[in-house]
Amino acid sequence: MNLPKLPLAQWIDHLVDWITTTLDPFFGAISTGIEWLLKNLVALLSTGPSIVLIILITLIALYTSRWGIAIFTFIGLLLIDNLGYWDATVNTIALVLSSVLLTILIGIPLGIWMSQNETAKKIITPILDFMQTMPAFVYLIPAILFFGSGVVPGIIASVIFAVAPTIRLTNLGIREVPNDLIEASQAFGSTTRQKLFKVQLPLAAPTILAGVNQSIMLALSMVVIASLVGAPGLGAEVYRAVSQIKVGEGFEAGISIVIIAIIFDRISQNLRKPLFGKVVSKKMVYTILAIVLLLGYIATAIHEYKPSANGSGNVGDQVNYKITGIDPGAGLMKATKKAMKEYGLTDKWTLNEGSSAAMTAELKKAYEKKEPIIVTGWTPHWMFKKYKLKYLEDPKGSYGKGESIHTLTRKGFSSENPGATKVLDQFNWKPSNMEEVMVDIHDGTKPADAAEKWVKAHKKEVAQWTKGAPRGGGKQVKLAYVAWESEIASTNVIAKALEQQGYDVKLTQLEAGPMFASIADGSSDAMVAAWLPTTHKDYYDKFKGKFDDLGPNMKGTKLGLTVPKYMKVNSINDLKK
Amino acid sequence: MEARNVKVAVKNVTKVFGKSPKAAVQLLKKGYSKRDILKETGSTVGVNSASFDIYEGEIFVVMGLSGSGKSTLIRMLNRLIDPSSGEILIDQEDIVKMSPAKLRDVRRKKISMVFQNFALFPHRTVLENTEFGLEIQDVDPTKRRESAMRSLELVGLKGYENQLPSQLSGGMQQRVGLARALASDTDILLMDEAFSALDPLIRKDMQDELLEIQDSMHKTIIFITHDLDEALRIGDRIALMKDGSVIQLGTPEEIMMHPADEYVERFVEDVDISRVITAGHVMKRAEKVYPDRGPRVALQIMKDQGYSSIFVVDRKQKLLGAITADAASLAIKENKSIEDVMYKEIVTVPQDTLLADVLEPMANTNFPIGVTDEGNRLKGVIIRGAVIGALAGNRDHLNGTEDDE
Repeated sequence: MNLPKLPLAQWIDHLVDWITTTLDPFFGAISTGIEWLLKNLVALLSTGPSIVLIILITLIALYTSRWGIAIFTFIGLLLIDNLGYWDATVNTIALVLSSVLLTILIGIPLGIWMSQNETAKKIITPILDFMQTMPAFVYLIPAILFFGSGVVPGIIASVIFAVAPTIRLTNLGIREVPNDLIEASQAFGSTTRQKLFKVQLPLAAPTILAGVNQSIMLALSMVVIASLVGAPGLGAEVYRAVSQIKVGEGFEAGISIVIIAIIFDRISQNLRKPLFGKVVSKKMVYTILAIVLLLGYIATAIHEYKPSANGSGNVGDQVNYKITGIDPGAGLMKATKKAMKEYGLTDKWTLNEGSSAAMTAELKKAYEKKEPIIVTGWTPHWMFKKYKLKYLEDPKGSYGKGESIHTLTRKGFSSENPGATKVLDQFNWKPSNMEEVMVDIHDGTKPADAAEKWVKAHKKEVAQWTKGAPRGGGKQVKLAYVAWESEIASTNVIAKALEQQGYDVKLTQLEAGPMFASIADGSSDAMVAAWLPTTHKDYYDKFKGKFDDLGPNMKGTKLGLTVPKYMKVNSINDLKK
Repeated sequence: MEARNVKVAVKNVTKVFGKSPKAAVQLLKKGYSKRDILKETGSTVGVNSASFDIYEGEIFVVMGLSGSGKSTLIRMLNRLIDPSSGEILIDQEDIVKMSPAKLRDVRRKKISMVFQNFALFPHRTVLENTEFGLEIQDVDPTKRRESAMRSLELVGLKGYENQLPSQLSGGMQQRVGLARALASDTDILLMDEAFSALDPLIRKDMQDELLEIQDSMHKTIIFITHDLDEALRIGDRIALMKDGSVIQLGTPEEIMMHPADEYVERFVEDVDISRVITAGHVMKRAEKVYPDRGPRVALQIMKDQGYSSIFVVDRKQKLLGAITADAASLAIKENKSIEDVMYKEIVTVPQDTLLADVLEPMANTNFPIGVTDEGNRLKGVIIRGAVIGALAGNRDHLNGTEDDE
């Protein structure tokens, strides 16, 4: 049997393309709504100094829970403030609150519907299974196509991931109401609505709240993943720290998330039966809370109000003073920050963090609609073959000259495996070579197949690399690489070349920081993906002396701010205008 | 029996649970048994063509063991369960054909229900539970509070209105259930094993209380129970169910005296018979003597019949006293009249006294107990042997009821 592979991936791609173009206004509206909600929440939570919010949250914790929890809340929040993560925390709280608000708005009605209607239950249940188990990464990047990068796709992904327990437990809670109570309410002539609101929902409330509590925790667990598409907050702090292998900072941000999680969990668990509920009625507390929030909001609104500087048509306005970046730890991001400083793009301009996948998704979205966009770009990259793009001129040389990609091996590898070391040392090719492989991969060919194709078609180059190297005879070579398109291409190609020589090659995909760490600690043998002297400068310096640098395998790479050719701007200098 | 208004008429009502009730109904009409139908169609027969009338103001008890279909039957009366076929007329209106809106109206205004496990809403206070029916009808809050308070007072729960059901004992909880049903002021009260979850002493109290309330309110009560004692105590009429069919319908006495078949007979065997059988059932024809006949005649009668004593009555059959054989002999010797020697403090009971209530006086006297009517006229005598025989379940000792006279 030799059935052709079902083109499922292509179908999904077409579907996503179709949805992106057809439902764009709809997604735009959702996006605007969520952004508005989040912006106001953040503004509200940042009213006054941090101590105001800390005391308010402590009071809520005290009201709902025990003294111990209140003390923990107070000290925990002070610690976060002290560590310098308060702004990130406010962003995270706002993100989680918005996600939970949406979760409740979507989840409870769906759960009610599911409990009343068997057909609905049969349809919703498998969708929930799908949502809970489908890895968030899978819909995170498409979410950028629909909603643009930033916090909105992060919230959408959180809601998709977190909404299931609320729906399930609402349904369960309503269905668990004892039958004789249902009979009693019917026997007295309740309508379906009366039965629902007077009997089923009040009795299901504990179960529903348990569901909401679960949703809150799941939404919190998504903050780091949400930061991959540019959501700000503690997640981004963690991501930045980890991708730069700043263990201590990562821990600080991580512990902040834990503190927030515990506070949220305890408060939401006790919300139904507050400890001091008998002393102060719930209604009164909610009223006071509402008044405080309202006053705070008015205060912020007045404070924030500025006549809007409206579109003078310059580039900054066109792109909302936003540069779409990649992974926060990347040298490219560091270089871009430096460039922004040197070109005076400081006051209004922001550099959005995310990931290279998020950046290309954002670029695709803008490019298809011919909208202005500025991204951080580098060559070789398939996007230069796929779209018509140009680098902005960099007269001040902030990005430095072109970079080289170096081959690194772990200490001691050259003596253990001189053959493979020789091949790796002689590995050398040009950006245009690499881009051939990259476009192939981007168009759907499996990396290994694309690499094999390239190796077959370029026997002469490959022969240069393997010249004089002994055959491997099944010796193992562990190659680490980062999941950038360029590195996927080069690593697969050199792996093919080594395999041809009789080596047993194992590939390990890692983030940039861990890739360096794995060479330094010897868990990987080699990598061909060190961008120097700019992109991976931090890692290179951090692990210096713990690896052997075999020199560049490619020269002539480039970094810089990149725009589509349909934009008129040509130089970074022009952005200032 | 005076002509009475039919409040609820159940006509050929059948309920089949399962996927193909129609097929099962057809088989039922052909006379298939419940078991055969389960085998043939996989459907369970809940109630099989039940027909009866319930009169206004009576307590109608539906009695049967679990699985007999009694709970299904009562739930069809307010359509918590929809009948598979048949008609249920409430005040001449067929509830089976009613639109949902009309049905809701009937449930709100005409029928209320009390449940076996109370079915109180745990998140509502006693008062809020009681006013639930009125709240559903959007009755003005002050008014419904007043009604609810009245019903709570009626069941003796004044002062508990702000407690939660979980803070009350089982008996009190069911009083709330009863108050909730009464608050809607419906004509018909469905009581589904309302007292079965209570312990026996409380159950008796509740039965008495229900009878008391019924005395003043004259509702039409349909009461489900599996307890024959309870059925006999409170029922004006009893419908006995087995395997989904009504196998006998009658007054408690009729059911006790004339069991329709062996099943009912076996059923009534275990009943506390002293609570059903009356003095009238066990009394014998009394041997009596007029005082002017003299002690010799009295003694002769006693000798002939083998009694140790006989009653003394006047010409109008009014009971005067009793005379023993010894007293009669003494009177003959000393030439005294019957009136001089007769024992005047005779214990008497009316004819409808329950046997249970005869036992104690019987233990405290050496004389037989007289059964008299309102005018103190002697109707018969209760002797120990007959009582013991009746309690032992021997029906030979029993007089028939009305129709024997």
